[in-house]
Order: sequence, then structure tokens, then C-alpha cells
Amino acid sequence: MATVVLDGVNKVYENGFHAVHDLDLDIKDGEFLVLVGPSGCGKSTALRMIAGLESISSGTLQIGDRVVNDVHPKDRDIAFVFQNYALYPHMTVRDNIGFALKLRRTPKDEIEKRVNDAARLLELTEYLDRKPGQLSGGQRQRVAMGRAIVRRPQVFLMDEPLSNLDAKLRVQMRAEISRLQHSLGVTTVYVTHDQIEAMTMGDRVAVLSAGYLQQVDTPQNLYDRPDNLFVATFMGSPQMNLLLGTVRVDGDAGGGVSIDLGSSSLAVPAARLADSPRLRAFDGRDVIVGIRPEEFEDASLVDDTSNAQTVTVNVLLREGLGAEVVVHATIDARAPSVSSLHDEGVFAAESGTPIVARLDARTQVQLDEPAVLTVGVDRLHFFDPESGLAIRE
Amino acid sequence: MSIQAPPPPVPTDDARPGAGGAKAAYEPVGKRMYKVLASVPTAVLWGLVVLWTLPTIGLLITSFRPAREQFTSGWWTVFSDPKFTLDNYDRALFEPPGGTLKFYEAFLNSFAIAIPGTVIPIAIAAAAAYAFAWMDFKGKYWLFIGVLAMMAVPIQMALVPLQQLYSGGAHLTVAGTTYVIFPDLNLNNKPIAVWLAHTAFGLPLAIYLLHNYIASLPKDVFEAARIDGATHFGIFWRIVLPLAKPAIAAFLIFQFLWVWNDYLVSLIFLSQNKSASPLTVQLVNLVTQRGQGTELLPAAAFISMVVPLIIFFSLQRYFVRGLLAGSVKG
Amino acid sequence: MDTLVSTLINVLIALAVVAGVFTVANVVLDRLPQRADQWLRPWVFVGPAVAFLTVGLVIPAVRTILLSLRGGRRGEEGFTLDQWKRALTDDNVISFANFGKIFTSRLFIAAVVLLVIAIVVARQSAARSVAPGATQRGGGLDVSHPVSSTLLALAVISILLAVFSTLRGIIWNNLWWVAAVAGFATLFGLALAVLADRSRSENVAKTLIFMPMAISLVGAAIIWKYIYDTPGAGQAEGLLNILWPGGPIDFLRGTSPTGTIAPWNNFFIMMIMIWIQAGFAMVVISAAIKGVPTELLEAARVDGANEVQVFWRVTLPQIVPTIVVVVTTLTITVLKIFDLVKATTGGAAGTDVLANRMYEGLRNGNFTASSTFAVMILILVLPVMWINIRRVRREVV
Repeated sequence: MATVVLDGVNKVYENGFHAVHDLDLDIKDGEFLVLVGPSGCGKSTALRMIAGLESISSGTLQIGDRVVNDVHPKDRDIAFVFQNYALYPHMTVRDNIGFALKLRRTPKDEIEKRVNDAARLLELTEYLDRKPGQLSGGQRQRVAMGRAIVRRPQVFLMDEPLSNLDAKLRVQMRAEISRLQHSLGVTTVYVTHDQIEAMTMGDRVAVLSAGYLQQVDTPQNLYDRPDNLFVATFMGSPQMNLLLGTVRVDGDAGGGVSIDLGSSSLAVPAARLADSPRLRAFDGRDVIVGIRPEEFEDASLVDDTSNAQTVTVNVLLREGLGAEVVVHATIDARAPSVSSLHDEGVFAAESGTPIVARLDARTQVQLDEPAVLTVGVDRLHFFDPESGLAIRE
Repeated sequence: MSIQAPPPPVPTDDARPGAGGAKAAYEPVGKRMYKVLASVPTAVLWGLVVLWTLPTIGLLITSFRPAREQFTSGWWTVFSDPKFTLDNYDRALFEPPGGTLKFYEAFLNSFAIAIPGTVIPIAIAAAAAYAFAWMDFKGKYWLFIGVLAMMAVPIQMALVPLQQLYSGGAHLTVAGTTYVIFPDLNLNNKPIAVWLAHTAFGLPLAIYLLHNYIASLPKDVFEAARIDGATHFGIFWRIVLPLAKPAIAAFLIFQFLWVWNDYLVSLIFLSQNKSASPLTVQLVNLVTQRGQGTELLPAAAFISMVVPLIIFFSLQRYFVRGLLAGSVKG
Repeated sequence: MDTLVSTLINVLIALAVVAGVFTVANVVLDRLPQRADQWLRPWVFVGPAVAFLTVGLVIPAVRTILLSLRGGRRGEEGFTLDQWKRALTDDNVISFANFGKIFTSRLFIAAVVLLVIAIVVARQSAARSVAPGATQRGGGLDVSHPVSSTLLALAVISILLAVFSTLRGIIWNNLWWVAAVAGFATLFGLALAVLADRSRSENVAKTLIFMPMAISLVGAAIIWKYIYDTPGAGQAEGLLNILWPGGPIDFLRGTSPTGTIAPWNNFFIMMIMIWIQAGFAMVVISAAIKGVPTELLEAARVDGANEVQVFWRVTLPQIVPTIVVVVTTLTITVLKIFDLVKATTGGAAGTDVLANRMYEGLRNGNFTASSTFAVMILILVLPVMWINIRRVRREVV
């Protein structure tokens, strides 16, 4: 059983810097877990603690059924793929891959067999006798993978292995790594700052920020039900639109709730309300409303507008992408003062709050003109302005 | 209204202290055992350090001991029977025996040789290094290789003809007519003879050091300057020289120490001129004086070492950089 | 004092002249059309350096070579190989008389023993685990095993020392200097660099060990005089003599009441050089060790290597080029050795070196003999010079 369990793991450096706070993760056998977050969030530190390249300040780490806090990396039965591959420049590819086996005094023919198998799997057979300096980036990356595979460890640990590759190669290698992991069935912990990699590769994704675990869930759940503003704005590109709205609860208990956004008002559907009953407690107060860009649509393209909820926006820019049109606009709702979150705003709002919408390619909205957009109210997100947490029960 | 999402802190994973080298953050099983073992290298190292500095400390202590003490007991006895005096320094500086120059004058002479011998090569080498790094001309490759090959040529190869050049000039007699290639400037036995020679000897290393550094300056800076209208000269003066300061500093210190500590070149070119003789020559002079003034040796030696030691301890970083530029690959 | 003032004035004048000519030349070139400027300007920059080097190094070097091939004290007579013949037939310069004694010398025997142990260890190591996919070479010898490699290196150094210390003559002396100093200074430097890397307060330690590089060789000779001295008129017993069992030995001149330690008195002078140059080797090798990317070391640890294996199989191969540079630099420095010998023994008691003979010839007005010895140094340097040129060519390209 190659499970990896982190229980209250902390990392505090000698200079006092607290890099990882009380991390709890329960990684199942054979799972592909992605640790994602911006630079400095502690994801690499966490990975290195699992590997044993950093000591654990407090908390326990279990691999399988052993507590491995004080176990040497080489005895944890893990393999590590470094961001810069860390290939031994003076050894051939063959020797690089087989190095760990040689250190363990594996019999010569066994080494040869395993190295050749790994090479075949990664299409490296013709490069076995070359040195890393003679290989391309993608080939070196595969050698690093080969080095990990050949050891047949319980856990694979990968530290941003694709970040040094060009975009096209990255897409290709993403698929290869996923495929490989599925066929080998080895528990894998994968670190990246790229949320697209996280979404496409992970069975589950753990989002970290400033040393704290924000949320861990399947990619789709993270996308559909972010627990706080950080996760909501981190996952999904273009970023979720955030607006400040006032809650209005209809007189009678069990009455409907609507949100005032500037001059518009959106009624919250009962089904959506059932998921966030605590919204009623915000009667008369402000909440942060999150609307994903794809939830907007050009009202003129919608057939049945009777039940639709609309807002009016002023179009600033339209980017035709072929399959869709990305529209930057302003809306006369207020903006929440979220200072530091991943700022993708292109325009400083002259009047109103900037939003981004992904509309059908047939849209007729024009620059510098008002446009009426429908809003997918079933999938609105609500956040408490004080705590940033999603409003649920 | 504030938001709970904590601001992303700046430090990246590179901020982890102790990255690099064997002292990386990993602490294996048995922390106490490890700590004991970890201090073994430190103990051995410091043992070696003590061994290494012992001779020098011995000399320092001896330089403050009166003559009689020096001749009868070793310097370690000062711990039980301290007797100190500044006499040795006083006499070495101002009243050394017989055939030795006052060390105070020798001290100044050393400067008189070292300063020109350092400053002039750097000026010439900087220009050449810039040309090799950023200009294109025919024969550049082989000329550069040639200059660098000169680094290995022992200075002994040049001394005899140089001496002849200094005192006789160079002539070429073809078909009865004598052409003067190099005038007889009668430079021999003057300090200028020494530092001119040091200039020539120091150029290959200077060019190598500076070239290494200047070639690694970002190309765009030069291209921007050229678009802004600067000539090669302007670029050299306003951009390269200021940017190359670390390399220049490294060479200055390296060369200064080298010239200050040199013995052979001064010995040969100042053989008849004692009054211009530097510290190293006078030091050997004192050594070979039979019987007279041997008690002044340690003090005299330290007088010759003061300046290098001060420079070394305060500017060690640059000295090391100079050394490394020529030595470490990549 | 006036020397200093007049010198400073000289410097300023010289700098002004150089800068002035340089500036004027540049300004003049600015007026020329682009094409002329293109090929003239570099020569303005490179010119002074080329001039100095040609007049100060190249031409004198050529002249020296020619001088060594001429007859008469100042080369006034025609071309002849007399000087060379005289030098090479002089037993003091080079002699093979002791050739047989090499094989019975202690160093040689030690070398053989080391070699045998090295081979045994290598054999054992090869039998246990062979590099994957590599063909069996050398009858199954894993020479890369740390113990066997170290012993092999020591064996090589021992043989060299055996040869150079048994055969007598100035040329053998110089070679002995090279083998001993380049060998031991590098070994010590490597050991010190590794130790320092694993210790706390390594910077202070490194500074102190490196400090002897700052002082002159003459100063160093005087420092060690107080270690090596024999008790007598006008001097106290040196530290080493006090610690050495038995009667006082004149380490530098080799004499002792019970006989002689010659030719090992040479070695005690070499120790001074090793004391100085180990610091150099340490600093350079230390920088190289720190230049090995941390990730490589971590990868090796994760792969299962213990610290010794990490050093031996990852760090060391990475720093081999640096070690080569250190050894070649030391070789070039040591072949020219003069100051130390002159300040300690003046070349007496079998400690004579080529550079000293060169100087003596010059002082006696025998320029042709002097040049011969200078050229001998050059010849010995040539292989190293060639290695350097090859390395630089690779860097420049």
C-alpha cells in the first residue's frame, strides 16, 4: 500500500520563516495528486519534505504504513524528478538511469534489463549511449523520468518537471506523463504552478497559498465549488469575475433572495440557494459575487429570454478567438477591494468594474457600446467579504 | 473591506537557507550521532589551520623579541617569560647594518615599483580586452591565442635581452647601415626598468581576466549604446570600464601583490642601484649578511608583509575572484 | 621619498601619454570613413598591448633562444651547440648515475605496494557490481572505486618522486619540485576544500590557510627559517628541530651530526612552497565544489548514495577540469622557482634549480649559458603550455 499521509506537517526555517503551516494530506494508493499554487506557496517545500530533502519541523509523514520523518531519502522508496532534471553530466544516459540500481548492487543483467525497458517505454533507446549535454530539453526530461521509473519506487515525486519546456512540448509531455502514471499505477505527487497542468493531470488537486492548504478536491470540484476566493480566482482562465453585491431577502422566511449589482438585480434560483442557505443571513449586507466568464452570454443570441437574468455592460474590447469572443467590459456594480489576488485585469476601470466574458462567436456586441448579457445564475458563487470563504451552510 | 486570502509572500523556494554544499538542510537518522560526526571535520580543519598559521605567528612574536632572547630561546618561551621590544622595527626601518638600505626607504621603493606596475598594465589590457571581446578584425583569433599562450612563458626567457635593451637599445645592421630600432634610453638600474618589465609580464593575465569578464557583459547594452550614437571609444570609456570594475579591481589587487612580492625582476634590473631597491631585495640582502643584524630579520620581514596582509584581509574577495577567473572552468 | 614622488609623477605622465595617444587616435579615426575605421580601430585598442608584449616578451624570448645557440659569453661568436652540450653533459645539470638506485628506493617500493593494493581493491569492486551495459574492460577492474583511485594517484606521485629524487641534477631537481609541489599542494588543497565545505566557520579557516599566498616567497623563507634553524651562533633552535627526535639537523643544507639527509633537504624547501600553494589549490577547488549544482547532489542522495559516494561519483568528476587547471598552473609556477631557493640556501647543498643557474649566468656576464638554462625552463613548460592553449581554444570558440 503506497499511501502518503501528511498529518499537521510544518516547516519552519532557521531564520524563522514559516514555509508550510499544518499541512494535512491523505494521498491514496495509485493516486495522482497535484500540488498547485503561486511562487512561494510552499508546494515545493512540501514535496521536498515528502522526499526527505527537507526536514519536517513538526507533524508526521507516513509512506505506506511507516512513519518516515527521520528516514533517509534513499530508504523511503521514493523517486524524485527535479525541475532542472539533475542529470549527471559526466555519465551516459544509460548510466544515469541505472545509477541508483548500481548503488544498490543490483546484478548487472537485471540492471541492463530494467534500463532497456525504461528506455523503450520512454523512446530513449537510441540515446542510451549519449551524454545529457547532447540531448534536447524534452529528451533530458524523459531521461529524468527514466531514472525515476527504473527504481520501481512506491511513490513518484515530481517538482515542476515541465516548466523548462516550450509550450508545445509541454502539452505533449503532459499527456505522456499522465499516460505513464496510469499504466504504472504508482502513487504520484506532482508540483506545478500551472493550473492547466493541475486540472488536466491530477486525480485530485491540492491548492496552496503562502504555506496554507486552501482546498483539496478533484479538479472539477475545485472549479465548480471553490471553498474560498483564492481557489476561485486561481483556477480557471480567464479569472472569475468578482463583484460586490447587496443581498435582498424577500419578506417571508423561505422567500427568494436576490442580489443587487449596481443597476441590475439577479434573482438567486431556489436550487442554488439550497446549496448556500447561509446567504439569507447576509440580508442587507454586501457579499462578493463570483461569475465565471463563460456564464455570460449575449442576450440577443438567447432564444428564450423570459426566465433569463440580464445585466448591462459597456464593452471596452473584444478579442475574437475563432471559437468564441472574449469581451472585456465594465459593469456598474461595485468592485470588491481584493488587493493581491492574481491580477489579470487589463484595464483600469474608468467607470464601473471591469469584467471578462466569453461569448459565442456569433455575438454582435460592439466596442464602446452597451450590451445586454445574460448571466448563468445557477452557477453563481458567493463569498463572505470579511473572510473570503464561500458562503454555504 | 479586506479579504482573507493571504497575500502571496515574496520568498521563493530558493530562500531556503543552507541550500548548496554538503551542509544542505537534510538531517539523517540519529541527530546526536550526526552532530558529533559533523564536528569532526571542523576539529580536523582547525587543527590544520593552527598548524598553518603557526609559522607566521612565530615570526610575528619573534619580531618583538630582543636580540639576546632571539638567539637563545625559541619564540614559544614568551608565554612564560615575556620580554618585548620595538627595537628591531626601529633599527630595521632607520638604522640597519652595513650594506642594507633603510627599510623605510625600501618600503617607499616598493610602492614606487608596484603602483606603476599595476596601474599601467590595467589601462593597456582593458583596451585590448575590449577589442578582443567586442570587435572583429583579421587575425583576432590567433592573436588572442598568442597573447594567452604568453601566460605560460617563464619570465626568465625575457630578462637577459631586456637588460640588453635597456642599456644598449636595439640596432639592426643591414648592408653596412645601422638602423636604430629602439633607442638607448639607458633605463637600466632605474625603477622604470622594473615596472616596464612588469607591465609586459602582467599583460597576458590581465587581458585574459578582463576579456573573460567583458565578454560576458550583455550584448544589448552595447547595441543600445551604438543606436544612441556612441562610438567604440565612447562605449569603452562610458560603459565597459564602469561595468568592468569588479574585474579591474580583482586584477589590480592580484597584480599589486605580485609586483610587490617580486624578487627576481627587481634583483636583475636594479642590481647597481641600491637606493631604489625594494623590500624583497633588501630582505635577502639582510639574510645574507653574515652575523650582523640577524635579529632584525623578523621585523624586516613583517615590514615587507604589512601592506600585502592588509590588502589581503580587507580585499580578499577581489583577490580570490582574480584567481578564480583564471582557474575555474565555466 | 623623492623616488616615490618622482615615480608617481612618472606614472601620471605615462598614464597621460597612453590615454592621450589613445584618445587622439580614436578621435582621428572617427573622422575616417566607416570601412577604414572598421579595420583600423581594433588595432588602436590592441596596439599598445601588442607592442608591449612584442618588445617585452616575444622578441626577448626569441633572442634568448638564439642566444643559447651561440658561442662566446655574449653570443658574439657564431651559432654553435656548445652551451647546450656543456650543460647537458654536466653531471650537476643532469645525471643518470643513480638510475639503478631508483628501484631500491623506499618511495619506489611504497609505490609498488600502493599499486598492488589498488589493483586488488579494484578487482574486488569490479566483481561485485559492474556499470550497467558497460563492456568489461581491463580484465574486470573497477578503477573508479574511491580507495583504488586514491591509491593509484598516490602510487603515481610516489613513482615520480622516486625517480626525481634519486636521479640527481638540476633538471631532476626542477622536476622533483613540480611533482612534489603540484602533487601535494593539490592533494592538500582538495582535502582542505572538502573539510572546509563540511565545517562551520569555513570562511575564517579558508582565509587563514590562504594567507601565505599574500606574502612574498622571501618573506616565507624567513618565516620558515625559524622552523628549520639549527642552534648556533646568532640563532636559536628552530621549532622543527625541537620537535624532531635526535640531534639538530640543518634541514635546509642537509647536514646533521649523524650524517646527511641529502637530497631530502630539497624537500624541506619544497614544503614551504606547498604551505603557500595549498591555499591557492584549496580556494580554487572549493569554488568548484560549490559550483556543482545542489540538485545533482540531491538526486544522488535520493538515488541512494551515501555522502562518500555522492562526493566520489558526482562531485569529483565534476571538478576534474578544475583540478587539471590547478595542477597546470602550479606546474608553470614551480618550474620558475627562484626566490625561495635563493633566499634559503642560495642553491647550495644540492638544491640548485634552473632559474638559479640562469641568474648566476646573467650575473657573471655569461649570457649564453644563462640563456641556455632559461630555454630549458621553457622546454619543460611547453607540454603544459600546450594543454593550456587547447583549453583556452575550446573556451574561446
